[in-house]
This record gives sequence, C-alpha cells and structure tokens, in this order.
Amino acid sequence: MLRKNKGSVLIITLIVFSIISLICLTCCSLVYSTIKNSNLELKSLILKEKSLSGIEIVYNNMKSEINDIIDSSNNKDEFINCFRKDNFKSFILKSKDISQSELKNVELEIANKTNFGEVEKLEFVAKATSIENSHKKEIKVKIQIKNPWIEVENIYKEIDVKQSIEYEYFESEEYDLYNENIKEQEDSVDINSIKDEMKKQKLIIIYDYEEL
Amino acid sequence: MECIVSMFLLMLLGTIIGISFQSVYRFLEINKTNIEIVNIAQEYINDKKYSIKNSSTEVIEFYEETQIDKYEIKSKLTKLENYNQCYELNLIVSYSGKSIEVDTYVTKE
Repeated sequence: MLRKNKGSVLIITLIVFSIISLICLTCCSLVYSTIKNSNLELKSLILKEKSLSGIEIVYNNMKSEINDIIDSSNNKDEFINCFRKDNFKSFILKSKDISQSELKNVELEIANKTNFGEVEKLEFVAKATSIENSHKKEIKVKIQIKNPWIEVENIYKEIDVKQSIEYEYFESEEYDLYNENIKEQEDSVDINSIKDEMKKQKLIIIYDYEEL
Repeated sequence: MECIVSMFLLMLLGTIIGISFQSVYRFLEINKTNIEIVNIAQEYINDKKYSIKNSSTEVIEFYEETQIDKYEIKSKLTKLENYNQCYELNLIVSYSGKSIEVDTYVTKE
C-alpha cells in the first residue's frame, strides 16, 4: 500500500506549492499596478492643474481685452467689429499669451466658433495641453462672450416704447414736460458709468469642461 | 526523502505566503496614503478656487498651515504682478515623509 503511494505526496505538495505561489504573485502584481495607478493620479492632478492654470490665464487675458474693447466701442456693432477686424486673430493671440506667467510646458490653442453674422455672443473653443516627460494632459473648454451692448440697447428700446405709448395718453404740454425730465435723466446717466457697469458684469462664460 | 522535500516545500510556501501578505499590506497602506493625499489636495484646491473666484471683496494674499486628520497642509496665495486679477496658489500636502506640491492659478471673476 505504501509502495503504491510512493511519490504522490511530493506531487500533491508541488501542485499546491505552484498554485499558491501563482496566487501570491498575482496578488503582488495587482498591488504593484494599483500603486502605479495612484502615482499616475498624482501626476494627473499636477498636469490637470497646469492646464487649468493656462485656461485661467486665457480668462484673465480675455477679460482685460474685453474691458479695452468696451472702452473703445459705443454700440453692439462696434463691439463685435473690434473682434472681427482681423478675423479674431489679434484677440486670440493676446488671449493665449502666457509669456508673462511662470507656466512652462503648457500649450494653448483657441479656435473661433462664432456663427457668421452673430452679434449677441461670441463662441470660442480653448484647448490647454500640459506635457511632462511622457505624460500629457489635455483640457478642452468652450468660452462664450456676451455682447454687453445688447442689454443696454434693449433697455433703451423699452424706454422708447414706453414713451411712445405714454405719448398717446399725454396731452402735448404735459408730454413736453415729461420728455424734458426724461432727457435730463438720460443726460445724468453718463456713458462712462454705463461702461463701468458693463465691466462689472460676468461677460465671459466657461462651460463644457472636458478632459481628453 | 520524499517527505523531507515536501516538508521543505511547505515551509517555503509558508514563508512566501507570509512575505507576500506582509508586503501587500504595506503597499496598500502606502497606496491609501497616496490616494488620500491626492484627494485632500484636489478638494482643498477646489475649495480655495471657489472662494477666490466668488469673493465679493478684494482677495488678500495669505500663507496658512492647517491639519486635516493626519495630513499637514501648507498653502500660499500670491498675486501675479503681470496679470490683473490672477493669483497663484501653491499647496503642499505632507504626511510622514511623503508629500506632494501643486501649483495652480486662479482668476477672480
């Protein structure tokens, strides 16, 4: 009986040994890959923040550019034409200028996506890419710029409509007095104060954040 | 002879299992710390960015050291000279020798 079983213990031990060793090795390699993943997450966070910093600078540049354009424009068409004069080229170049910051290895691309003839808002797509060694992180956002003169002109249109309706009910003398008052009020509202109010508004909207 | 070899193999197996369990546990602890550090850094940055972006008053530069659980956080906010409302946020999260440093910019809206 003993002779018949000779060698079977060693074979069973070898089989158990190889199976359990295999399980241990798999566990170790799984843990190793998890650690690698967590290190990648750390690198990903650093690169993501770099790309987002690029977008923040684009936002800042656009904001100061828009403030200048508000100063030099007096109606909605002039505002839009300031962007369109060289097919948005100078605006895009100034917006993506990060040379004065300490950001390194960040590339910015801005593309104009404004519909032809659109005056109410401008649309852009910005892509920030940060590169470090073999790692790369791309972030894409959409940027919308509202034309602040649209709102102002709408308010003035409403005032005009109100005046014309009231004109029908007012007798001529009363209306003259009313009109004089309105004119005085309008004169007191300085164009510069309107422009200052425009600058305080949130004219740039960043949306559709995408990590590529 | 066969029994001696089997015994030796079983002892070796026990050692392998012990060593691998110990290292797996140690690595998982390190991994947990790494993930927690990254999450804390991310949340802290998002929180600060939100408060700076939506601040109704002038943003003031600061340097602060705080502690969240066992993690030490050092953060510094400085205004960028060449940009109007743009700030640089530097953050260091550390715990027992392991630390990460993240730099990011934020613009006040």
